[in-house]
Amino acid sequence: MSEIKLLSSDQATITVQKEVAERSILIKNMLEDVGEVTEAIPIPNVNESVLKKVIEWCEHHKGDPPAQADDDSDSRKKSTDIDEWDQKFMQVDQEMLFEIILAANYLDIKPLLDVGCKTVANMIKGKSPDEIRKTFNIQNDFTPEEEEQIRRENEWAEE
Amino acid sequence: MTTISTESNIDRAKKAIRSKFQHIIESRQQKKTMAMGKSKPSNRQDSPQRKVFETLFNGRARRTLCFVHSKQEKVAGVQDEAVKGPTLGNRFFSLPVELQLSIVNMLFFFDLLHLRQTSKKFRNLTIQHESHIVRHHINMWVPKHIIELYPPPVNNTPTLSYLTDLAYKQRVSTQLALVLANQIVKEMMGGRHQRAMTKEANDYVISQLRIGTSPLIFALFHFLETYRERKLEHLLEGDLNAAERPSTILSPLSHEKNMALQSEILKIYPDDRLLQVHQMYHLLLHMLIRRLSPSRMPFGLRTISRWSSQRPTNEAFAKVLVLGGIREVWELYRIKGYSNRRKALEKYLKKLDSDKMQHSTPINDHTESSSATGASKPAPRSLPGRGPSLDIPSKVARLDVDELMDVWTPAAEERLLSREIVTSLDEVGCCGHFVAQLLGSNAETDNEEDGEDSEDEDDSGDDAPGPGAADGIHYTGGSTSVQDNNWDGGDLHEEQEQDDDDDDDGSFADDEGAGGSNSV
Repeated sequence: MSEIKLLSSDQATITVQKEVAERSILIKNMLEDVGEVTEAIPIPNVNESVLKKVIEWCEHHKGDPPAQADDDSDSRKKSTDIDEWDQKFMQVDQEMLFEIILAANYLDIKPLLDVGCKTVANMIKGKSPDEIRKTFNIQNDFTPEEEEQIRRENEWAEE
Repeated sequence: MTTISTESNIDRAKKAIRSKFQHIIESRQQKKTMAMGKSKPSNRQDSPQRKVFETLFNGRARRTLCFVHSKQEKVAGVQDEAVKGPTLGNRFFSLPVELQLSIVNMLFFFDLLHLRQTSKKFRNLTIQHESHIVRHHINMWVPKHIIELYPPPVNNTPTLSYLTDLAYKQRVSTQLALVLANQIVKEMMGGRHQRAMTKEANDYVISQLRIGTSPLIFALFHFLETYRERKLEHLLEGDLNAAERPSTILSPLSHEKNMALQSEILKIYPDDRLLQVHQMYHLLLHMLIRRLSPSRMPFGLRTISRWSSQRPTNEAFAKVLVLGGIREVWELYRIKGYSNRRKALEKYLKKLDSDKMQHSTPINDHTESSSATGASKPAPRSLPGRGPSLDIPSKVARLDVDELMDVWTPAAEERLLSREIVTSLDEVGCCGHFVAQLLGSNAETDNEEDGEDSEDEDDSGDDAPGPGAADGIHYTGGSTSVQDNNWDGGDLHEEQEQDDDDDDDGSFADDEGAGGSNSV
């Protein structure tokens, strides 16, 4: 099994199986274009701890069927469930969570990006506007007029 | 090992990379924010491979960077962060907009509505990207059967209020389905047949019924609503002066015309669905009539006044269906306590009468208009969930009301036969049969014989627990699972006044009685 090296933004070199690294479409396409690589591939946007975390995910999911590009529009996947392993995986602090999302986006790892987005979405789901504000630590900054309009808009859904 | 050092190879790689970027860029919605943003390549080595990587990654990095620096951002996190440290809100808004939208697109519709109510920033996000979000929702979340009945507008982009309108209708349908399910289960468990069912099995049966009936009720919502609108259109067309003329009622359409209107609407329903909707109509009517009819219980705990000691007239039910639609059915059905329901019905009928009297106000509002094409939906304001019937536009009250027997059934039966969905109306089966089907089409087949010749609700109970008792079966959320409603359950324990009697309502379930087996 061939291995490649990745160089994080903070200059740490991480060796990883090619198959694992290729969960990243960015790296995969690049390797296809460039062929064999001996040098460490620089990943300038991702630091070591995040990169390790992402690789951990890729290790676990290396056997998954290949991602279906970024065309999610007609796959009516109803489920927003996150698989159990991924849920555990995502039990990290908020900073790491958002770093993972950014890294997944950057490295083009759609399924990981989805898991990250779902994790954030789950912080919103089933909550009242007030609870969402608390969770996100944001202020209700509507004017009274806007408030009134919003109230009318949502009257029907109160039940 | 082959060293990639020749110019041509690098060029080739770059080209491929460029084209990949091209592709990515094109395929992303958020083109506009991409224009700006710079990042300096920091070449420390001159290895050709390195160059390729850097080209590749810088391109990618630039893309990400420019999102981070999008103008929305400046207002948001940066400053606050310095002061308060990053909150979840700050982190969220420091994501590229496309990622913010990816997260928003994971939400169910009602969560989206809640999010819009939290702050200006969230609200603006959903306003600025309304069409993207709405399209995504339509593709991901809105069940196909709903889209079929209310297709998104062709010409202009679908709006949130289009979705809101659908969500409202779906919610009403789902909640009505839930009360019906509870009622059916209560009736089949109570009364003569004390069946020991575990809570789990009980919940399972209710879920099955709710999931099965909800889309069908939605279809009836569509039918009654569309029928009412089309009638109104035709009447106003044929009666140009109607707006000004102080007549109490618009000159009614002919029976044939009404039938034609109904048949026209029914054409929208797929053949394989029509039979079920037809069965649903009768189940619903049957249940509604029972729910509004006095029980046979000898000792009423409350004094039943004279008007409520008898069943409401057919005309009353026809008014509820034709003028009020499923929304009104739900409003009435959900009320707890028999006499409260009767009072609400009286109130509704009175309201219609008074609307009819004061019709002289010109017809100018389109509050109730929500055409099947979905063009320019009314604001959600017109969809109050409470206060039954208080806002019925007077023009609706001026419509003539069909005979109860002429609503749905004749047109549907004709189409069932003409499309050869059934070869004989006997195949439609009785309500109990239908309920059994909903509970599991394979498991109850051997019970069919028993169920056929009986026409009361309790016998559906005889059939039903078979599959229901097979607990531990995990039903997968059907089309109705978009939002879970928790509003009831209490109905189960609440009333004693409805016993398991079944009386004159057989006359409405005209499809009941002995029949061949049903294959759906």
